[in-house]
Amino acid sequence: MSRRHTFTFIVILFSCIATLTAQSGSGEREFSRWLSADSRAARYRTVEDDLARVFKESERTGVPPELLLEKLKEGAAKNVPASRIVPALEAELERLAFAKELSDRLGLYRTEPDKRAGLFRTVSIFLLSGFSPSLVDEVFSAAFERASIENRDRTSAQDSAVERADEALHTLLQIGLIYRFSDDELVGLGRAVIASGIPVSGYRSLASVFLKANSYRMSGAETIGLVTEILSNRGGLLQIEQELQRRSRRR
Amino acid sequence: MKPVRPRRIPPLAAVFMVFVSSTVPAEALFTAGAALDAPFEAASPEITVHAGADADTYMPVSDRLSVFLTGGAEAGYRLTDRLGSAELSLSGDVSYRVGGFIARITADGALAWQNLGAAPELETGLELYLSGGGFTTSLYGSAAVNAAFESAAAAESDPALSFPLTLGVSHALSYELLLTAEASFVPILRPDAPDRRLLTPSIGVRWYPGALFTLDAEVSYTADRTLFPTTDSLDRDASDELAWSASAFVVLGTRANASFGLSGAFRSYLDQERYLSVVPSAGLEFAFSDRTLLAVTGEFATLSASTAGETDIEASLSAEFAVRLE
Repeated sequence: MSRRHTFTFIVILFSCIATLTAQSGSGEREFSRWLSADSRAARYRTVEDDLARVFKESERTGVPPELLLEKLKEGAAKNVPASRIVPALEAELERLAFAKELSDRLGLYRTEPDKRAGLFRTVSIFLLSGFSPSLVDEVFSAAFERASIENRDRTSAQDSAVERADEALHTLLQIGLIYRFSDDELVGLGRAVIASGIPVSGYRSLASVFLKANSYRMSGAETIGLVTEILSNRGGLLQIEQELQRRSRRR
Repeated sequence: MKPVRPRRIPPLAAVFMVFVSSTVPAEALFTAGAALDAPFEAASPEITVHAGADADTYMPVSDRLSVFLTGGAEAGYRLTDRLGSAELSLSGDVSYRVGGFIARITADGALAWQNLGAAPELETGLELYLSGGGFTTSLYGSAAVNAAFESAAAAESDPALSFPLTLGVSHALSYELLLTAEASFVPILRPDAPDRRLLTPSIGVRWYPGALFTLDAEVSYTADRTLFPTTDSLDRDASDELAWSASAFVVLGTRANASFGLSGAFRSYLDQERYLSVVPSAGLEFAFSDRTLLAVTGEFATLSASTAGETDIEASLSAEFAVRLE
C-alpha cells in the first residue's frame, strides 16, 4: 500500500469512527440538552434516569430518538406529570418500534429519513387511536402489494402504498365512530378497500356510507358484510348505494 | 277521521320474532315509543303509543344467488280516541348477481288494520328489478304489479291494481356524488273510481362527502291524468305536482347522530285549486350501546290551500326506543 493510500485509509477510518461516535448516544445527548435548557423540563428531573433508559433503548432498537424527544416535548407542553411521562414514552417507543419493524419488512423509505420519520409518526398515531398492530400491518401490507404491482418505480410504489394505507386507515377510524367492529371485520374491510377500484381520494366517502346505513338502522355486521362483499366483487359506491336503498325499504 | 300512523307490534308477533331470530341467522329490531301530534286548530294534542318488531334474514344460496326474507309487525294505540291499529307485513326476494348485473324478484304483502274493530286492508305486490352497469354508471328498470283490497274479509271485491314501470340511470361523480335520473309510469285501475295514470320524472343526488355527513336531495314532477282520455269529458281530477325532499345526517359523536329534513310539494288541479305543503323536521338519535338506541324526532308541517285561503299547521314530536337482537 502506498503512503498516499495509507493516509486516505486513515482519514476514512477516523471519519467513520467520528460519525459512529456522534450517532451513538446522540438521542441521549439531545435529551440531556433539552432537560437542562428547557424550563418546562424541570419537572422531569426526578425521572431523568428512567427517561435516559428509554432513549438508550430507542437507539438499541433503531428508532430515531428525535421522535421520542418530540413526544416528550409534547408531554411537557401539556403538563403531563413526571409519574406518567415514563410509561407514556415507553408506550410510544413500543409503537415506533413496531413502525420500524413494519417499515423494514416492507422496505419502505430505507434511504429517505424524513419520509421514514413521517411514516413512523403515522403508524404510531393509528396504534394510539386503538388499532391493533395486526390491522395496521395487514392494511399496509395490502397497500404495498397493490402498489408494487401497479408501480414500476420503487419510490412511486412506496409513496403510493403509504398514501393508500394512510387513507384506508383514516377511513376505518371514521367508520369506528359509527359502529364498533372486530379486528377481523376491519381487516376484511381494509383489504377490500385497498383492492377496490375506488381511488384513494374517494375512500373517506365510505365513512358517509356507514353513516347512511346507520340512519337506516342497519346493523354494523350487515353493513360491513355488505360493503366488503361489494368492494371485493369489484363494485363501488354505486352498487353499495343501490343495496342500501333496497335494504332501507325493508325498514 | 285521521288514520292512526302505522306503528308497531302485538305480543304474539314479538314472540314470533324472537323465535325467528333464534332459529335462523336473522336480525330482529324491536321498537317501542310514543308520538305526540298537535294540529294547530285542535283543542288537545293526539297521543299515540306504539310497539313493533322487524326481523330479516339473508341466505346466500351461492356466490350469485341470494334470498332475503323480512317480516314486520306493528301496533299502535291512540289514547285520545282509544283507537287501535296494527299492521303485519312479509316480504321476500330472490337476487341473482353476476358482475355488474343484478336481477331480482320481490314479493310482498301487508295486512293493515286502521281500526282494530274493522276488517283489515290487504296489499300485495310482485316486482321484477333489473340493473346493469359498471363502476360509475348503471342503468336500472323495474316492472311491478300491486293489488290493494279495501277489505281482506271481502276478498271477492275487486282490488285496485297498479302496474308501476320504472327506468333510471345512476352515475357516480368523483366517487362521492351519486346522480340519479328516473322516470316512472304507473297505470292505476280502480273498481269504484276512474282509472288513472301517473307519469313521474325525477332527479336525485346523494352526496357522500367523506366527512361524517351525508345529504340526499330529490325533485320530482308528477302528472296525474285519467288513463283513457276522451274528448267529450273534462278530467276534473287531473293534477300536476312538483315535490322535493332533502335530508341530511350528521355524526355528533361516537354515540349520537342528528338528522335534518325539508320536504314539500306544490300541487295544482285543473280547476285552479292549489296546495302547498312544507315539512321541516329534525331528529336526534342516541345509542346507549351497540344494540339499543333512543330516537327523538320533531316535525312541523304546514299545508296551504288556495281556495280556503288559510294554512293548516301541525307539529309532532315522537320518541322511539329500539333494541336489536341477532
